[in-house]
Amino acid sequence: MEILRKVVFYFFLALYLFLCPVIIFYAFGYILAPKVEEGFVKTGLIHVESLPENASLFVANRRYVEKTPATIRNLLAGAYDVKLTLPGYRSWVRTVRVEPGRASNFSKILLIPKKLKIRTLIAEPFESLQAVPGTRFLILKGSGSAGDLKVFDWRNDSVRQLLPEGSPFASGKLERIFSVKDSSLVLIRVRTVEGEKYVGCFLDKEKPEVKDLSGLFQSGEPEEVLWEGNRPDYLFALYQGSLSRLDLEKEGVLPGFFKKVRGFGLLRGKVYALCGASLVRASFNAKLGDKTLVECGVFLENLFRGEEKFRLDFISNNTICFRGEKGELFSNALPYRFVSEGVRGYQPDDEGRKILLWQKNRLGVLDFEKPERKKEFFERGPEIEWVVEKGQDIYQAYFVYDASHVLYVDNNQVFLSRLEERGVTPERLVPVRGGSAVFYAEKTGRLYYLEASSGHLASVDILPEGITFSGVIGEIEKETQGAKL
Amino acid sequence: MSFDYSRRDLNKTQMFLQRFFEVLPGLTSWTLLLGLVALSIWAPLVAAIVVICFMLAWVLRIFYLTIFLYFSYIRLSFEKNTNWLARIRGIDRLDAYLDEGRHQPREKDWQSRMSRRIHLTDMERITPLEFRPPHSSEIFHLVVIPVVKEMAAVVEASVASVASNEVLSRQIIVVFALEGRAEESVKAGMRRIAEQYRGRFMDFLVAEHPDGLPGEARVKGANATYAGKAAARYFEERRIPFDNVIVSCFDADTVVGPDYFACLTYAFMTCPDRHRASFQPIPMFHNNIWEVPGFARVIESGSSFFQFVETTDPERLVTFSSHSMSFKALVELGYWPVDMISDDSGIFWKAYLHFEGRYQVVPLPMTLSMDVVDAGSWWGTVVSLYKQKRRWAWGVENFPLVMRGFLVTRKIPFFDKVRHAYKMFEGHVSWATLPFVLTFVGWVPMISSGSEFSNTVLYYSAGRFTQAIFGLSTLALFGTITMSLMLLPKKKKRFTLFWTLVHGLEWFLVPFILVFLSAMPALDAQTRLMLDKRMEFWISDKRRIK
Repeated sequence: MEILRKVVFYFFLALYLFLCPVIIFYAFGYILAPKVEEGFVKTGLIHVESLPENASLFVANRRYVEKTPATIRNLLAGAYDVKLTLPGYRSWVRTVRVEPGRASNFSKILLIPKKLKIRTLIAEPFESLQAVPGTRFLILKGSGSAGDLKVFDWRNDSVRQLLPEGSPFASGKLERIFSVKDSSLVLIRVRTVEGEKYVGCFLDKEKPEVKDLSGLFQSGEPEEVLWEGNRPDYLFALYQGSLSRLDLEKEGVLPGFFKKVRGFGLLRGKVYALCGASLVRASFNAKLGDKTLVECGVFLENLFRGEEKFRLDFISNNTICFRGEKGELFSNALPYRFVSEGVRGYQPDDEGRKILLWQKNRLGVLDFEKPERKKEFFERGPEIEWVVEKGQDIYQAYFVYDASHVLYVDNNQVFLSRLEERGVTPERLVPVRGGSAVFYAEKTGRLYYLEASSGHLASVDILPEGITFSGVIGEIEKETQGAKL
Repeated sequence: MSFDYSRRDLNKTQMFLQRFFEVLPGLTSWTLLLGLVALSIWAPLVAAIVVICFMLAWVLRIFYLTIFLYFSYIRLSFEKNTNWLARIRGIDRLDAYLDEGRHQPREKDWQSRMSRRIHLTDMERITPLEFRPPHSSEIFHLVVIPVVKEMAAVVEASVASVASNEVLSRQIIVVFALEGRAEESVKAGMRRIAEQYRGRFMDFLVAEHPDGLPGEARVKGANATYAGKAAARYFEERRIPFDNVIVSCFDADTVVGPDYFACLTYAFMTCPDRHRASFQPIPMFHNNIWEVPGFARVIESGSSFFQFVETTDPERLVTFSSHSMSFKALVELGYWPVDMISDDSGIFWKAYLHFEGRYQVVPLPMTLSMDVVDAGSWWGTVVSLYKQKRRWAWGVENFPLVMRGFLVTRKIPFFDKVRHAYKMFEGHVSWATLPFVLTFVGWVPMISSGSEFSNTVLYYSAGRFTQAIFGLSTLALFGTITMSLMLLPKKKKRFTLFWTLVHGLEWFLVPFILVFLSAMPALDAQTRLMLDKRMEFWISDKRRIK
């Protein structure tokens, strides 16, 4: 037994000493390639994952048995044509560069159906569509009178009038719709024969329910009205640099809550305002003058030179974005000044880690949490990665499929592009009504838009049915708190 | 060699060395685990390589152990029909018997042929006059059973099994090593058993060990030592030479077969250096195996299998649990350690150092059965098992003593020192770390890695390799399941097909058991030793269902 044990032990030891380096070298991508001069070569691999799965995979015109998700190993360095095909879907073709020891990873490839599944949801013409972010409601504007406004619930595919039947405001001309994220309250400004009227409408009620709030807007036409989605007890209206607080419960107005205001935003029961070149803060229910100076000084004076007005958005608890009238984009994160002009809009992801921003002809991603490049002499902070640079008239964009793709409207056409790929022709999806917004709900994987010719409300499936990312994007079915009226 | 196998009364240098070697295993285990986690975060490439090396070593080790598990089983099967009593009577007239053996007709089955071959080799080894054993009728057995809180039913089953060795029972002296601090009901129970069985043995002693003797800790070894000394006086009074006495120190739940002492006597007689040897049976935890939760069954079967494998390597075998040895050797080296919890392995190392390397453990081709820990409830049993495994893992307390011993002794060959030290150290560190590495730490490079690592070929290969390793491990697991089915005792009640399947599938609890009831208690024990938090002897819960 003793001898046998020693024989077996040394056999296993030898096996280990042989296998260990072999496996490690193999794990690094080394293989013995008889056709190659060196014999041992370091290879790379390609990893592809698609939605839907089970797509056939071709690499260098060779069909592989594996279906997606698949990893093709032992590829010598070089460029390979990779093609994914799935019956009923457009082929996905790319030229992929394989480097020794590296994995070319193509996860989250979204295959687009050859024939898009388009559904007409409301067969009547609309002029424009406005989504209430963070809720399940879309507001559809018809001919121009307030009585034509309709509310579409995309979760239940149901539609109703915004104003109740016989409402005195119905015949008025709609001038503006104010809405904020996560709030089922929308405020509309209507011009009636009696003058300007401000009407609060509650979208989550079974029957249309409105409240005349005109009494709170005696000071004239506000430039901006904001409230916090889950706390619609206070509204804040900006009038020529002066911020008023509107108390819905007491129906009172506190003018001059902040003065010399160049922009403001709300977060967790507090108003933040850029007054001159200082950032100040006060609680919603603070008394007049009871404010806290958050930051001021030369640094802010340099950053916010001039008199330009800004819009403040809290992307996360730590990140604030400032968008100027000329389309500048600042942030409180390095390098502070991201774009000097021309930003038309931006859309944060639900976790507040990154934003999608667009100018007229280009679209980029700013990832606040992306690790910095190798230590440079100057600290740089995150940089915008421009993913589309040859646009014509981009005016809206959304993250799609767990922020792996971007869907954008350019020149009244909807396109889809994979974020990690540059210089690839984007997938053209559908034409939309000129000037009207679109809405993409990651929860249903569906795009809602007005058809280009008819103006009908329609939807198109971007993600296959049954694949949703409810936890990722904020189109969650929040039953937002109603206002105490 | 006059090495005091204890951590008491050390001078500054010795205490420094003692603490250094106490800290070393725990520190190594923690460094390995935390180092791998840190490496996974800061250098995932290196961590992945280390994990691959670990995993490959693990899978090969599993196959290696499985092979020897089967070898050990085959070795045991050789002696299935052996008449040990006839053999020891034969050795009493060695020359004639050896001659008969050589000319005996060839047996029909190959196991018996192998058994005879081994038997002849054993006898040839002791033919020189200086190796001749005493006559079997002059060999006495001292059976020491330490008791402190064990149920009378458990102990009685043990005594009854010793008594079942009918032919040799008149050469057996049983001693209850009864702790003075034991409850009166326990003491009364033991006295009743002693009275009941006294007539079936040569004698039956009850030695009550006073609590708190100077230099002693509250450990089993102190109790057994007190009983051993009482037995020594007994033998001296009756002029029985210690040379002719084999002492067996049994756990209170040890149940032996009717030919156990014949087999032990045979091993003693055929061992040329019988006073420099311990005799180790294979402990099986079968007494109550069908009455305990599945996880307990699996872990104890695993413990048995480990001992099965260990018996195939006598060069590095260490005594474990119930074992036997020459009483002469025991007295010479000063009995069991009185301040250590792991007296079973401690006695081997004490003897190995005392006799300067001239000491061995002879594996017995014989099993004995013990109880699986059973606290009466599922959770109670988990806790009890955890504590039992931690106590076993506390065997690491031998490491600093052995290392200090190795540093002072000159006669033990350097190679043997390195071999033993390595096995001990590697064994304990692997015990505490490998399951963690394989189950959790191995995955950290995949999870914690940034895009720099996740875009490498290694990232994809590592996951594939891990899958392959687990696949191969499952293959080895099937080998183990098959072995468990061959070894398990017959069920007292008939189980339905469903339950039979469930019993087979219990083995898939192995990953859970390895982490929570093996590695974790081992790491706990090493950490305690590292931090100088001494443990007290904790008696496992064992019970009998009437």
